[in-house]
Amino acid sequence: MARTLNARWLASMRAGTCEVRYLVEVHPTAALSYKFTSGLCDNFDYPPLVRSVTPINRSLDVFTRQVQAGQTTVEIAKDAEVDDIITTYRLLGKKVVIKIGTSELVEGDFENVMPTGVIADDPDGNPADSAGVLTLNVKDPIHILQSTKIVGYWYGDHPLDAIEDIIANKVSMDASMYVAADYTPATYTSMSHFVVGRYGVHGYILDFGLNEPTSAMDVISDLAATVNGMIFPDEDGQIRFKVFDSTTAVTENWTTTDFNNIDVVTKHRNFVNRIEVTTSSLADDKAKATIGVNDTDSQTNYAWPGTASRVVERKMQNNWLNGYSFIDSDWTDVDPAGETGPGNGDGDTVVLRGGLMSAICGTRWAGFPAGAQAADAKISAARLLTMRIGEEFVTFDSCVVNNTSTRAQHAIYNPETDDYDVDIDLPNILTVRVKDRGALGSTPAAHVKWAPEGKIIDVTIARAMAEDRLVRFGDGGVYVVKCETDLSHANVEQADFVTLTTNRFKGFGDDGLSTTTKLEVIGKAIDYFSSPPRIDWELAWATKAGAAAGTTTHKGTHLGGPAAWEGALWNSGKEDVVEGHVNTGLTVAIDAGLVVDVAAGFATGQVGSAQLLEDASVTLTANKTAWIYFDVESPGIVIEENAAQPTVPGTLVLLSKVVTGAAAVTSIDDTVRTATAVNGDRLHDSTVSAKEVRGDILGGAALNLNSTFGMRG
Amino acid sequence: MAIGAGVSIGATDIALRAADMPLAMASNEARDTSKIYWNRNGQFTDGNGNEEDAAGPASRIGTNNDYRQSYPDANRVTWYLMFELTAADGVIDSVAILNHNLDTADGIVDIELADDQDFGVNLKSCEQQTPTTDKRLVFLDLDDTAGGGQLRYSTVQYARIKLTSLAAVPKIGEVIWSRRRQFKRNPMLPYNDKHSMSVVEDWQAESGAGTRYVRRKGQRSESIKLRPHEDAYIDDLVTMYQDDIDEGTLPFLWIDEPTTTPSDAWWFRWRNPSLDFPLVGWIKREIAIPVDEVGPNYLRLGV
Repeated sequence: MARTLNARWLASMRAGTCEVRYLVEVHPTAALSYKFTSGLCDNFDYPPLVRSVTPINRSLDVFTRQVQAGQTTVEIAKDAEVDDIITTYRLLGKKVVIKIGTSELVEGDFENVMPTGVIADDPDGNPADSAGVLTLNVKDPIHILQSTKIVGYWYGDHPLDAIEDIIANKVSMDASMYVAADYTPATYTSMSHFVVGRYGVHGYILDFGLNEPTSAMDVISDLAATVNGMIFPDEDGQIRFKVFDSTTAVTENWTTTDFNNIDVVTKHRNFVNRIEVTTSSLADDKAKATIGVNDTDSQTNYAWPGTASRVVERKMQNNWLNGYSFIDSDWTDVDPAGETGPGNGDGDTVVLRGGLMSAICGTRWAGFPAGAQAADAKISAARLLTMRIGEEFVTFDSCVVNNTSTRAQHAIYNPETDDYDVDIDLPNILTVRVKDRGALGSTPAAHVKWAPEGKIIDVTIARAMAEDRLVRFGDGGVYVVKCETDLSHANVEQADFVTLTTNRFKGFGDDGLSTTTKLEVIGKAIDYFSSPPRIDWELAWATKAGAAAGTTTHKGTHLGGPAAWEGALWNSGKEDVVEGHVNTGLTVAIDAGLVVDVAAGFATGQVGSAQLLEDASVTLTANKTAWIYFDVESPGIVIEENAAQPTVPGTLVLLSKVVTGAAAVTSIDDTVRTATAVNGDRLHDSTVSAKEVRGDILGGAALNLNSTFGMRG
Repeated sequence: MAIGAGVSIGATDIALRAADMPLAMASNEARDTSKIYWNRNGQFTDGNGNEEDAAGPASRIGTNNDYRQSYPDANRVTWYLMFELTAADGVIDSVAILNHNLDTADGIVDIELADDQDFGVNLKSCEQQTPTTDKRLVFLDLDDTAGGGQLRYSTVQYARIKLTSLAAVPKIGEVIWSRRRQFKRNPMLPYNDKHSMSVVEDWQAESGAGTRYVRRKGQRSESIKLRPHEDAYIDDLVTMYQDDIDEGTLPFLWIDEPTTTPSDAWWFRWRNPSLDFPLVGWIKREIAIPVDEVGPNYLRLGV
């Protein structure tokens, strides 16, 4: 972010002649500092022992927004007192502050160049050659994030919330080392509804948590990529966050009195006219989705001779994009104008149930289910939820988050403790309103509820990642220009915008460069010890006046095919042959009064199997007939109160029928449990081989087969 | 061991100095001390001990550089900076104080020697000056008898600088307790005694506008050529190189005109030390002493 340098510093640096000085502070302890300068100063007196400071070079990958931590090597001539510092204190990991000014300034007017460096090494080289020099390899505080490995889980978090949590709680950086206000989702209104999740619920087949120690900076970079943002240290040494925004005001306009040695490195960096973003690699094929965005104008404009179109593709994947759920009712394949389902026309609501719901955009809700969801976290017409089901994209402009079932709360695996955090409330139902069926150029299709065809995957963030980058890089990529300025332009920082005015640049649509062409600073290296002292800049095109936005189309690439469900015996098509059944345990017994105990156990239903880890106690309503279920999708106990057995989703496995009186349980009936694991009525001879048949028979009951069943020998 | 009575440096040297022949202060007893103290009462046994400020320790004196100043821990009217030499064999006829604030601090400076660590036995008050600038102070007229002579003291073990009438904390970068080497003639011509250099870098924009970056300025650089023929003079130069500045590795003070401008004492370092001192005649030898001024406090900058 653009800095404001003090007026005395600017005046001194911009004088025709100036005596530049480095001020290097070495902090071997929090309370102690030793200061050195690179020459005499008129107003303060520290040993002038700084021999060299190599260029502090920070660079930014303009496509991924990943920042290369600045680093420098500082050489300090040794005398007896410097030797004492080396032999008295452990220098590794300690703080170094590097400032720059001139000999006539007071100390307080020196400006930061590297305000919070950390000593990564003090090699000193060959003592015979370097006996007189203390050498310090110093890096930006980003190095702390790079060097710290973390594990953890996150759910229902905006990417910025997750980043802040990592910085503050996983890496445990002091509040003074980062700017909390940067990590406020409400600041970015177009994406405040974004949600990411990495967590593993007990009983789920897949664990999406960050269980392997991973560099905090790598994790943060993945999160920052979801919002086209970057993490960087500012002039005060604080960890900042910034989203690329082409409308940001220019920091400085440079003319030929400001810069020198302009060099066009390339005019086509990161040229790409098709970007495919795939959701998390942690999911199996059932939960992965890809969205591809094309700039078809670019594909035509840059076609090779004799061809009609040239596709320059880049693929991205992000392990924070794990949100998926299931449609709760069958959808027909209809034209949105005359659709009869789901709902009766655009704007009707449908229910999504289960899945990794707290990784779906629009589900951020602090303190769920207490209180209310923040307005900026909600799905709306301006903040759509984009999902993919099969080959179809669907957009939703409203989403109500709720937890409708009385159940045991969830347990999430915590890799920090290698145990489960219990009693966590997670939503299990989203009521979403359809805006467009067949969105983004896809074709509406029929979809069957529940897995596998009924799995619906959140591609909201994936879509934004692709579209944001295509806008900038679609039309032939970006120019990259190098130039030099004197040291007085040190106020311009990485990711700031500048303009260059020169008629020496020619490019498509640009006869020279002017104040209408914004350039983003992607590289900055301050080198006082070079000949002559200067700042080397690398600039990348940010916007171009008059550029037409490319025409975009979207396409989904189906990943994998229908896969067998976990715990299922086989897949016979639309109707699953597996009956929801108890594998072990889960018996229901009277505790006292209206309280019954459900024993720990294991059950199998549609979408998979799940385990109740510990016995659960349930308090029933008086004078009711209660049907007690175990939910294998969101593991827990579900109670349905109804005189007759209700119709429930296949993810609920019936355990018992309990009748209560005024103050106590009067009867428990376990015979209502499913006796067989396989429904023979649904077996089809063409799909089954003998060795795939595996009856899981309870109590010796025979496998129930109909007369049409046949088996391949 | 008792300091003997000061002995005159000799009529020849006195006359040469009066004629403004250059001299060098090459040896420095401050490099070989067992104790250097700041003390309000001027005694090593005083109960206050070494009253140095921790940020300006006395150990900064005698380190062959003057950019780190030493100072006491309080603002008092009187302070003593005291030296105990390792052996009672110091030979002193000249004193210099570099990088100080004694004019700003309004101090009066006295050079004192004694036989004992409390400066109570055979105390000799050799010379006094009241600084009028913060430029380096040079004392060439040590004479505790008030006889106006230029005396040389031997077997010195205890020396101190007495500072009185102070209005601020005194700060001193370096002290030189020396036995001078008086040269018999000016350096051979051409002698570029005005030569100094600055190191700059020029950055220019495309338009030609630019900035000059100054790394350092005003450093004197010299080649002092001598052609002595007197045995004693030749021996003096050899001893200066081999002993006073330890085979040419240590810095020394050079005063072009020790009577007219004694405070123009240039602190030189022998560039690429080697004693290249061939016979160029039957008894005549020639030597070129290439020197650079020791930074960062160059004399021309007023320090």
